[in-house]
Amino acid sequence: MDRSCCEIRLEMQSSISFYKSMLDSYGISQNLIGIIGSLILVILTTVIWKLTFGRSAHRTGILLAGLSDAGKTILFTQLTAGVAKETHTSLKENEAQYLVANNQNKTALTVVDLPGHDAIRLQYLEKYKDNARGIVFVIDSGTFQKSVKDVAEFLFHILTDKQLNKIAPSVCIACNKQDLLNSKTKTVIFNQLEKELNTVRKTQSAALSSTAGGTEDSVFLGRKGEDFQFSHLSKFKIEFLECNAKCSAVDEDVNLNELKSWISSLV
Amino acid sequence: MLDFFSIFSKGGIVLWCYTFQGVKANFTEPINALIKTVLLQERGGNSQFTHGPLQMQYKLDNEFELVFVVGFQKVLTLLYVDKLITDVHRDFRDRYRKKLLDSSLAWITVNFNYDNQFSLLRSNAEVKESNKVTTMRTFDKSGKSQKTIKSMTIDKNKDPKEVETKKKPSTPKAKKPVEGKVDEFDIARNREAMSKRMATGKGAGKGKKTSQKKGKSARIWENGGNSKDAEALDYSGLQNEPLTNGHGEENNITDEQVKSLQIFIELSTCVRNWVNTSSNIQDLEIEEEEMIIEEEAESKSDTKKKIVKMNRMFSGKKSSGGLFSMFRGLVGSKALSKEALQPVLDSMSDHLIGKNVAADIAQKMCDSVSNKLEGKILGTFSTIASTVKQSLNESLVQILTPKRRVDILRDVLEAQRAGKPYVITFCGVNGVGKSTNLAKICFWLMENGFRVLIAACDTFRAGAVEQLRTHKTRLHTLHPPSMHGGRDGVCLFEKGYGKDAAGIAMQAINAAKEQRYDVVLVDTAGRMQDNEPLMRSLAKLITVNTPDLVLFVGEALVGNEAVDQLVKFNQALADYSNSEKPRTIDGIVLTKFDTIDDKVGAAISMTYTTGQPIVFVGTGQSYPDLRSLNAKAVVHALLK
Repeated sequence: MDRSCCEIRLEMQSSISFYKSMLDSYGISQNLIGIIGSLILVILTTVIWKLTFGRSAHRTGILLAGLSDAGKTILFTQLTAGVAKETHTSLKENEAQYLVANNQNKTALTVVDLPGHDAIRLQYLEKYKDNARGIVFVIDSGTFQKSVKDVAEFLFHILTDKQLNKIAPSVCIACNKQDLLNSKTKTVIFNQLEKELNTVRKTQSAALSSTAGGTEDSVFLGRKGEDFQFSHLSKFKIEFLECNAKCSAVDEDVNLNELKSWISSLV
Repeated sequence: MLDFFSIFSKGGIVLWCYTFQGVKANFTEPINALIKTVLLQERGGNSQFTHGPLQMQYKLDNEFELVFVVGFQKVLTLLYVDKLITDVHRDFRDRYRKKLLDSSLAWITVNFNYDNQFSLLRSNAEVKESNKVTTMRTFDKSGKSQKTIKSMTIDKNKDPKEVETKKKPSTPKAKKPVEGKVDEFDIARNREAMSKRMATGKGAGKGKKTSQKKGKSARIWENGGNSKDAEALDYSGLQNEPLTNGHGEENNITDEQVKSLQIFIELSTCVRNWVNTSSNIQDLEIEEEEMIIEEEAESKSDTKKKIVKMNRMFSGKKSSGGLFSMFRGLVGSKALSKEALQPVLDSMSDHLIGKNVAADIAQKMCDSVSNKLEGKILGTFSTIASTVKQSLNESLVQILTPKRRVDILRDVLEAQRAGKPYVITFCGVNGVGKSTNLAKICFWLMENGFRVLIAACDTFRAGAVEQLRTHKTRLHTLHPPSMHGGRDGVCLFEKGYGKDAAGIAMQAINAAKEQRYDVVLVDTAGRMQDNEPLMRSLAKLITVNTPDLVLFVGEALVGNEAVDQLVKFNQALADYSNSEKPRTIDGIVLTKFDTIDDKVGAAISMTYTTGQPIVFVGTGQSYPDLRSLNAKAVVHALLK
C-alpha cells in the first residue's frame, strides 16, 4: 500500500517536471498561464453578467411617478388587483407583479408605485430608476392648471436625469382623473406642458450650482437654441394618454384600456 | 366618541376603516395632513397630532408596514384611546398575520372584515375606562399606611451622604425596577443596616487615604466603583443572615425577596459611590478630571449592567434556549426592540450634537427614527448600527429636501408676466450677513437679466444705507445699463435713517411698479429675537407689504441658538401681525457656510424647526459665492 502511494507520487512529480520543462522550452512561464486563466474567467463572468442583467429585456419595472394626490396608488391597485381602494398619501412605495398576457406566453412585469410627496419622491426614484423599463407619469387633470409648474419641474427632473437617459425607458404621460368635469384633455396638457418645460429649462440652467461642487448628473433637455418640443427628445419615446382609475358617477366605468395596452406594448 | 379609526399600509392603501356610525365623513384630508406634517417630517417622536377640531393619535407597525390612526374631537378627552390603539394593533396583526406576511401585496383584494372585532375591543376599552376608580383612596389603601413610623423619622446618626443619595434625582431611575417587588418596610430596614455598614466602610476608606503618597498618581477613590471592587464591596451575602435572624417573625422571606434585597444594596452602593465622586470638588488638573469622568462613566455603566441583570432576573426564566433559537439568532430575523436601539441612538444623537445640530433636534430625530424602526425585522447581514445609520440618513435627506417647489427665477418670471415686482424680504439677527447676501442674490438676479431695486429699510444701524450704496455702485459697474436695455440694472431706494421701515418698503414697491423693476429686495435691520418692539415693526412691515418671499438669514455657525431664533421669529411674525393668516418665514439663507468645515448641523436644525427649505447658501466673500444646498452632500458630511 505504502509503496504504491510512493510510486504514484513519484510518477506525478516526474510528469509535472516534464510539463514544466516543456513550458519553459516554449518560453511561457507559469505566471503567464495564471494571468491568462484569470483573464478568461473575468471575461466569462462579465459576459454572463451582461447576458443575464444587462439586456433591457431584464429590466422589469413599470414606475408610477407623479405628484402627490395624482392617483398613483389607486392606479396601482387597479392595475395589480383590479380594485379601487381608499388611499392616503404614501409614505413608501408599493410594489407588485403585473402579468402581461401576450399572444402565447405571459411576461411578468413589476409595477412600482412611487410616493409623490416632494420630500421623498427623489429618494425613491433614485432607488428604482435602474430597473425602469417604462415610466408612467401620472397627472391629475383636474388640478393641472394649478399644479402645472410642479408637474413640469418633476417631469423635467426625470427627463434630464443622466442615468435614465442612458437606460431610456419608454415614458407615458397618463392624464388621470378624466372622469372629473373640469379635467383637461391630453392635447391641452401636452401644449401647456411643452411651454412650461421650456420655461423650466431656462430657469434651471440659470439656477445656482449646489454646495457639493461636482458636476450635476443631468443632460440638456431637447435641442439647444430652439424652443422645447416633445418631438426633440431623441432618447425617450413619450406618449400621452387619458385614463381614470376611479369613477365619480355611477354609470361611468374606469378607463384603463389605453394604459394597459401601452404597458403590454413594452413587452 | 371616536370619529374614525383607520388602518392603512405605509404605501397608502387603506386596509380597513371605521367611521362614526357609518357616516362617511371626510377623514382622508386630516389623515393626509397627519402624514405630511408629522410622519414625513420626522416629527414622529410623540404620537399625537391636532388638526383643526380633530385630535389624532397614531401607531406605526414597522414589521408589517402598517399605520393605525384614531381620530376624535379635540374637546373630548378620551383616556382609553391609548389602550384601544394598542389592543387593536395587537389583535389585528395576530389575526391577519398570514395574509399580511404574504408578499406581492395579495392582501389588496382581501376584504378585512374587522368591524365586529373592533366594536368588541372598543366597548371593552370603554367599559374599563368607565369602571376605573374615581373615588378617593382610603388611608388603608394609600402608600403611607404601609410605612412604619420608624421609616418616616429621620435618623440623626445616619450618614448625611445617605440622605443625599435619596435626594439625588438619579436614584429613582435606579430604584425603579426594585420598587415593585420590595415593600417599603424592607427598604427602610435595608437602609438602616446599610448605614451601619457604610460607617465601618468609610473608616476603612479613610485609612487608605492617609497612606497615599503625594504627587500625581491615579487616585483611588473610596469604594471606587470599579467592577473589580464589586466583590470586595459585596457585603450583601453576609448582610442577609443577621437581617433575617434579627426579625424572627420574618423568617419566611422568599428567595426572590432576598435576591432583590441584595440587588438593592449593590445598587445603592453604586449610586452612592457615584454621588460621592461627583460631589467632590474637582481639581484643576485635566488628567485627574478625565479620570473622574472615566470613573463616573464606569460606575454608571456598572449600575446599568446591574439594572439589566436585575431586569433579566425579574422577567422570569425566559431563556427557552434550543437549537432553533440559536439558528434564528444566526439568521437574524429578529424584531428590533426599543432597548436594543437605545444605545445606538444615543451615540448617534451625540454624534449629531458634535456636528453642531441643536441638542433637542438631535433628540427628536433619534426618537423619530426609533419610532420608525421599532419592531422592524432586521435583515440577515445587517447590524443594528448600520440599520439605524441608514434610516437616519434617509430621514436627514428627507428633512433637507424641500417639501415644496423652490424656483425663484420661475416665480420672478411669473410676476414679471403679471406686471408687478417680486418682493423678497430679508430678516435675521444682527451680523449674520443680511446685506452681504442680499447683494449676492442681487448679483445673481442681474446675471439672469432681471432689474433689481434694493430698498434700504435698515434705518437704524449707522452706515447701513452707505453699505448698500457701495454694493449698488459695484454692481452697477459690473452690470452697466447697456446690459439691461439702456436702463439701470440695479437701483437703491433710500430715505435716510430713523424713518418707519414699513413705509419705506411700501414706497419702494410702488416705485418699482412704476419704473418696471422686476425684483425688490428689502433689507431690514438686524434684531434679536427677544426684542419685542423691533419684532413688532418687522411683523408690521411684512403684514403691510405682503412680500412674495420672506427669507430668514441665519449663520451656519449657530448651534442650539438656531432653534430659538427661528421659533421666536416665527412666533413674533404670527403674534404681531393682526391678520387671520399670518405670514411666517418662507425660506432660509444659510450664510458663512465656508467657515464651518463639516459641522453642518445648523442646516438640519433650521430646516427641522421651520419645515422650510434652505434657498440659498452663502459660501464666501465675493458676489458669485452663492450656492444652493445639496442635501446628500450635507448629510454625508453630517454622518461622516
